[in-house]
Amino acid sequence: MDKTFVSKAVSASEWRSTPVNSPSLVSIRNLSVDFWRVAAPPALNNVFLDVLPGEAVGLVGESGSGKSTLGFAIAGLLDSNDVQLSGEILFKGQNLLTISQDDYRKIRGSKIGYIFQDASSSLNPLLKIGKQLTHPLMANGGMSKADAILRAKELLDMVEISQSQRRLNQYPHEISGGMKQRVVIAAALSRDPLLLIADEPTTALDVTVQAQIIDLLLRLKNSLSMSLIFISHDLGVVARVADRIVVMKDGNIIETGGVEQVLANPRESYTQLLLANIPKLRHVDESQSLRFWGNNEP
Amino acid sequence: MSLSQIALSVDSLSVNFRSRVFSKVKGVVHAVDDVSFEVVRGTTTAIVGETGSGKSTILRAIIGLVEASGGSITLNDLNFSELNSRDATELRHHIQMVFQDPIGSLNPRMRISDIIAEPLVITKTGNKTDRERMVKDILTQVDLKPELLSRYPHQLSGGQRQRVAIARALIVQPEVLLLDEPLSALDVLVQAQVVRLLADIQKGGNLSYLFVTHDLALASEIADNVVVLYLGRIVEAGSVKEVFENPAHPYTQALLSAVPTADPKIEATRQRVILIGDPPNPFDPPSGCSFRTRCPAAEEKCSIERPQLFDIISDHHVACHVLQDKISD
Repeated sequence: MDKTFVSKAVSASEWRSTPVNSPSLVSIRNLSVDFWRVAAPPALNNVFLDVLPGEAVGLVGESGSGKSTLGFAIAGLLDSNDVQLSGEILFKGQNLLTISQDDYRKIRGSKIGYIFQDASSSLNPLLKIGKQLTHPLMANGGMSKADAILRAKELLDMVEISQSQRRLNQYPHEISGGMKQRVVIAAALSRDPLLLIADEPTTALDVTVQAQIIDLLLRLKNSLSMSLIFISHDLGVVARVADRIVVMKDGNIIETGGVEQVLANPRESYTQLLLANIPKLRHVDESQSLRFWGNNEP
Repeated sequence: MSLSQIALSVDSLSVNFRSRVFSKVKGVVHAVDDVSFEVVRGTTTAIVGETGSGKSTILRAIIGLVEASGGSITLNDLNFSELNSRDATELRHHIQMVFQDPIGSLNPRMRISDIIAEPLVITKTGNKTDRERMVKDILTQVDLKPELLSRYPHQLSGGQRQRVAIARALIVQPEVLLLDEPLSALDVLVQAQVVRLLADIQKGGNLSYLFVTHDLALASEIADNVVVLYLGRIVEAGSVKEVFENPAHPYTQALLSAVPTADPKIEATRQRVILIGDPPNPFDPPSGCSFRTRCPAAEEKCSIERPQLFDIISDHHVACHVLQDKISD
């Protein structure tokens, strides 16, 4: 079996022997996260995970499974006053847990982009969209104002927002929920990240808009050759997005494997239970004719 | 009173909301626009649609939380608008509602026993001992342990809270239960438990569910009939089997094709439609058919005349000019 497909099953001696220049973009080794103040089992328990360049990994699990904590840990969004982190998070071979905060800041926001669930609270309601996109480009990317505005417009075009010039002068409340999420994606892409972490990016959206956003994320992942970590509670959504699925429960990785393998032949009983309990679309014929829609993609 | 086949009937219901700036009316939203459907006794009808389609507003109008601007609601052949307010309130006791958010809908300062018994107090049913017995009975029906009765809502899990909400609604023995996205705040395993519970409660009885959801897969599992809404209007309605097997309206087709399934085999072969753009601004809906701005088949007629529902077969109704022309040709 491909080594990168193994997560929890890797023994301690095995992972130490993995060469440092492994092909993975992200390599998580024996990561544990413990919240100091809560008398509860650790939020993450000896997690191993590798993400290859250009790969889309779907993290699925119920509330409290640790899927968001894992995303937070990679992006360095956990406060060391609140949590105890142990293990290694290697990003291009560099251990993110031992580097300085300054170095971390250079990676986060430029090499690692993060998309949160709720687009309305990710955007500042008092700032025009243009300002929210240009400010980080000028402050951290060292661009001139004129360049930043050009780049912001380019980013809005990239996430397929129409009338991008006009949008730069609008406030978040003036645009729809789906469009807000596109702006958040544009912001996350502004510094050409190698890794995009999307934490339930479509949960607050309607199903037709969700389909648009998933489509967009996949196209961007391919055109910008990023890796994608897609966090969701919805196995159906993950099935559309991911190359590989990681099933989590109570801070542990329960099962991992290719999409087809995990969904069609789940090995673990918990995965089987999850799959058995999600509502299935009944009465839908696979070859259903969509007479109004001409030649759509299969 | 003999029971008719139809428990609840909604006839040309309209609900308008006015947006006001200092008492000056700035615009009117037709949140629900000329909607008619019937709920057959002992069955489940699902209302599906996206945000802003008016699905929750229909429930709120039925239970009287918002005022209808037109149309009528009939329960057991009794029309609410023809009754005086006392009789109408009494009739409304036969309709109960379960809300989406189990935290917001339970009073945090009341014990579970008081929360469940409150509808009995309001409807002046039984004395204290009767009520206690009824609360215990309903508790076993929703699979909750009696020791929860002395607890407060914050001490319960999300699934337990939603069971309490269901118990409270059922304790006055309603004929119609309105469920407004009751499962969307729950994890998938808890969701499945509550679905099974609702099915068990309904089994063999006369209780009808009117179930609002944005989850089409869920609707296909639990409902007998389905109503598809777009911008406050019904675009398609009928039996779940008919509508999901042969979706006729282009919006229903797009909606169904957008539902992700966790089955790679179906995903690989299924045709998909990605709708362009967002739903139109409800303050300024398109003329004629409200879906025409996103519809690939739209013709001139669609912008002029509003399509009316017509029957494809007896239990399948669609509002679409293009389809109607095709069929009548």
